[in-house]
Amino acid sequence: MAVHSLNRKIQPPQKAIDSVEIPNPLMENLPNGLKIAFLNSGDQDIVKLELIFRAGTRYQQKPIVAKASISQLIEGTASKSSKDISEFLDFTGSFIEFSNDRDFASVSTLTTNKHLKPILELLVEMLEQPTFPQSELDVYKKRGKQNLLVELEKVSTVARMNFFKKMFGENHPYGTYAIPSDYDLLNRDDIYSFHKAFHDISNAFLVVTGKLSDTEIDAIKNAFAQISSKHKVALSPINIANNKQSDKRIFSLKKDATQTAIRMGMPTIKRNHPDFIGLSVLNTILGGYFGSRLMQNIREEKGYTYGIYSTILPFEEVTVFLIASEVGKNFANQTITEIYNEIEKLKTSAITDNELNLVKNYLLGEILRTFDGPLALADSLSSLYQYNNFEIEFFEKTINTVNTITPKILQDIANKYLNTDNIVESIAGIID
Amino acid sequence: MIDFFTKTLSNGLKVIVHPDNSTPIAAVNIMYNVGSKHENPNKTGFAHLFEHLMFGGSINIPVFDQPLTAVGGDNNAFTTNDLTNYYESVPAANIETAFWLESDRMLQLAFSKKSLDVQKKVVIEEFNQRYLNQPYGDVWLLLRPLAYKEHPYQWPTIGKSTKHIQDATLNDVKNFFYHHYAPNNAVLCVVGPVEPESVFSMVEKWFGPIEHRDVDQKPISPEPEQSEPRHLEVERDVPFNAIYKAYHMSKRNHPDYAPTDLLSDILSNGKSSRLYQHLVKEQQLFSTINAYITGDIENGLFVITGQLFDGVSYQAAEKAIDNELEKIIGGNITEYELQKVQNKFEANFIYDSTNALNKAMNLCYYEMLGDANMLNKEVEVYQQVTLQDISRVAAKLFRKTNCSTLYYKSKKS
Repeated sequence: MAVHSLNRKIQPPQKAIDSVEIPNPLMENLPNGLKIAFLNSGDQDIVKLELIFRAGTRYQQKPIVAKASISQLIEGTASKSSKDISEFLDFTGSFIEFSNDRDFASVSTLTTNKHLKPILELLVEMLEQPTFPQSELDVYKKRGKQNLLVELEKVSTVARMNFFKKMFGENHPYGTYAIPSDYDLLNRDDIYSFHKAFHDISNAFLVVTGKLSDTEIDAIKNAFAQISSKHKVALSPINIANNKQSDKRIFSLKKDATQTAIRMGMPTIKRNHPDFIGLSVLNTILGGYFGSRLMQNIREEKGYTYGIYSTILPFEEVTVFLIASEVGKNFANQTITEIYNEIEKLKTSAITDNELNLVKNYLLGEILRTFDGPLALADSLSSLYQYNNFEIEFFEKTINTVNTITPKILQDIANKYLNTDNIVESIAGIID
Repeated sequence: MIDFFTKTLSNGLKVIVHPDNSTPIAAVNIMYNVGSKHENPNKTGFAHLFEHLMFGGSINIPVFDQPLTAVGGDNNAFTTNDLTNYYESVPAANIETAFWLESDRMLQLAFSKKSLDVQKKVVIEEFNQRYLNQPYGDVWLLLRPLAYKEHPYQWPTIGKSTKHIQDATLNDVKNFFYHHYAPNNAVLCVVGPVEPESVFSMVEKWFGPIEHRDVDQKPISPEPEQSEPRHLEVERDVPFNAIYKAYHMSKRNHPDYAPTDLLSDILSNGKSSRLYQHLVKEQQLFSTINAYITGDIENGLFVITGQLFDGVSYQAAEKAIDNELEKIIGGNITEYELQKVQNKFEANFIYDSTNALNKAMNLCYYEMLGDANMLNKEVEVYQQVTLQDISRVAAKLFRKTNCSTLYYKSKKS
C-alpha cells in the first residue's frame, strides 16, 4: 500500500455520531406494586439487578438507622446465617451490595446467568425474613464507628459535611450527619422497625440488565411476585427551606494539612425542570470534563490542584450545584477568587461556537458511554427512576437540547441560575 | 473466548484488534513498556510526571485533549511500577482521531517548558492529595524501601519525594522520551465495533512512518533474597493503630503466581474469607483486614494490612495473623475453599469482559507479558491450581525472614 504524504497537523475528518440508540426497557407491573424495567443488553452471561426503595436517611428518626437497616439484610435470614450467605455469594462469584443516600436505599446484585435462580431465592428471603442478629449488629457498630473516625480525619470529608450542613441546616434531612457516638445508640428494634416501615415491595422499583431471555425474565417476575406488600408506605415530604444566613462561609481548621479542601455551591433546579439540561451543559463547560474552564484555569494554567470539578448532585426534592477541589494549602484564596471569576464570565460573555461545539460532541459521546453495556445501563435507568419518574423521553430530550442549545440560551441560564449570592463556601484545612 | 487479530508493523509496533459489536464505543489502548522501575534512583517519579507531559501537546498538535473531546471522546492514562498506559474511549466512527493523536505524541512531544513547570506543580499536588494529606497515606513510601533494598520497586510511582519532581529538567524529559517512547516498546489494542483490516490500515497510516528507536535496555537490579525479618515503627496523627506485612513473592510469569493470587483470595477476598470471618467477626481484633498481591511483573509483594480495633495490642493482632498463616502452611484448606476462589476468579473474568476498555487493557498487558492469548487461558490456569500448590507457595512465602513488618502507630494510643 502506498503511503501518501501525511499531514499530521490536520485532524482526520470528523464523523457525526450516528443516531444514538435509546434504551427501550420492557416494563412490568407486579400485583404487589413492584415495577420492573428489564433491558436485555451486552453479550456476556451476566445479570444485574438494582432494587431501589424510597428509604433514604431522610426517613429515619435516628442517625444511621436507614443505612444499617438496608446493609444488615445480608447478615441473616430465617434459614441462613450471615456466614451461610457470604459463603454462598462467594462460591457463586456473585455480589450483593447495599448503598443509600438521603432519598433512596438500594440492593445491587450482580451474578452470572447460571446462578440466577438461587440468588433470587436468597434475595426474596432477605427481604421477607431478615433476622438482624444482635451479634452481627455489634460488629457493624464497632466497625462503623471506627471507620467514621478515620473518615473525619480527611479534609475532603469535613468540607463536604460542613457544606451540606451550612446549606440546608444541620438538623435538616439533607444537612444532618451522624457523629461517631451515634453508633453506640443504634439498636436492633429501630433497624427492624425501619425495615418493616420502608422496605415494603410496593415502595420499590427494580432495574434488571444483562443477558435476559424469557427464562430470566420469568424467573425474576416469579421470584419477586412471591413477596406480598404488607402496607402502603407513608412518605413524608420535606421542605427545602431558604437557609440563607449572613455569613456564607464555614471554615474548619486542620493545622497540619498539606492541602485545603474546598466545596462551594448552591441548591438549584430539579432534574425534571425544563432548564435542567441547559444547566447541565453549562456545568460541563465550567467544570464537567478535563478540558473545562475550571480544570484549564486552576490545574493546567496555575497548577494549584490535581483536580477540580463541578457537578449537579441530584436529590429528589432539589439538586445541588457543587464545585469541589483539594488545593495546595497556599492556594485556597486564589482558587476561590478564580472560581467566582469563571462563574462571572459565564454570565457576562457568551460562549464561542467553537467551545460549544466541542462540549456538545463531548456530551453526545458521554450519553453513548452511559448506554455502554449492562452495568452502565443499570446506572442510567436507576437515575431515571430516582429523579425523572422513569420518563424514558428524558434521554431523547437531553440529546435534542444538547444539539440545539445556543450561546445565548446558555448565557441566559447562567444569569438566571448562577446567583453567586446564594453560594455557600466550605473550607477545611488551612487558609491565609 | 476473546477473539482477536494481531499485526506487527515494520517499526515493531504490535497491534491487536478485538471486534466487539455489543457496544457503540471503541476503546483504543496503548501501553508502553516503561514504568517507575526504569527510573534513575536519584530522579524518581519521572515516568509518572512524564505521563502528565504527554497531554501537554505534541510536535504537530498543540493541545491533546480538545480534538478528541470534539469527536465525543474521553481519555486518561496511568503509570505503574512496570508500565505506562494511555487510553481513549471514542464513538467508533471517530477512532482515526485517536490514532492521529496517539501517533503524534509517539512521534515527538512538544517539550514545552511551560507544560513542564505546571505539571510539576500538579504532580506535587497529586502527591499531597494521595500520599501526604490522607490518613495512612504515606504507607507505601515507608513499606517499599523496607521490603526492597536494591530493586527499583523500592519507590512508588509518584516518586520518593516531591524534591525529585521539583528538580526535573526539560533535558531529563527529552532523554526519557527517546529512551522509552518508541513503536517497538509499545502495544496498541482496539476493541469495539470495528473491522480489523480497516483498523490495521489506519494504524499503518499513522504509526507506520514513526522510526524504530533504540530503547534503553539497562538491566534492572535484582532484589537479593531477604535473610532476616525487617521491622519498622512510625507514629502518625491517625486515630487507630495499623499493621502492614509484606512478603516477597514470585514474578508475574512464574507458575507460582496463580496459586499465590488464589491464596490471597482464600485469606481475604469476600466476606466469607478467612481473615474477615476469624479476625474481624469472631475475634474482633481488626476493623478492616486485607490480603492481596501487588501484581507486579517482576518479583512482587504479598501484602497483609489491617487496622486494629481500639484497645487491641499489636502482639495479639500479629499473633492472630501468624496463626492464620500457619494453618494454611499446615495444609488446613479444603477443596471447597479452593473451588470457591476459583469460581470467583472466573465470575470476575466474565464481569470484566463486559467492558471494552478492560478487554483492551488486558490484551495489551498479556501481550507485553509475552502473548495476548494468555488472557484466554487465564481462567484455566487458575482452575488447575491444586491444594498442594497453595500449601507449597504458602510455606515459601510466609517465612519470618521473608517478611517486612510496619507498625503504623496512632499518636493517641
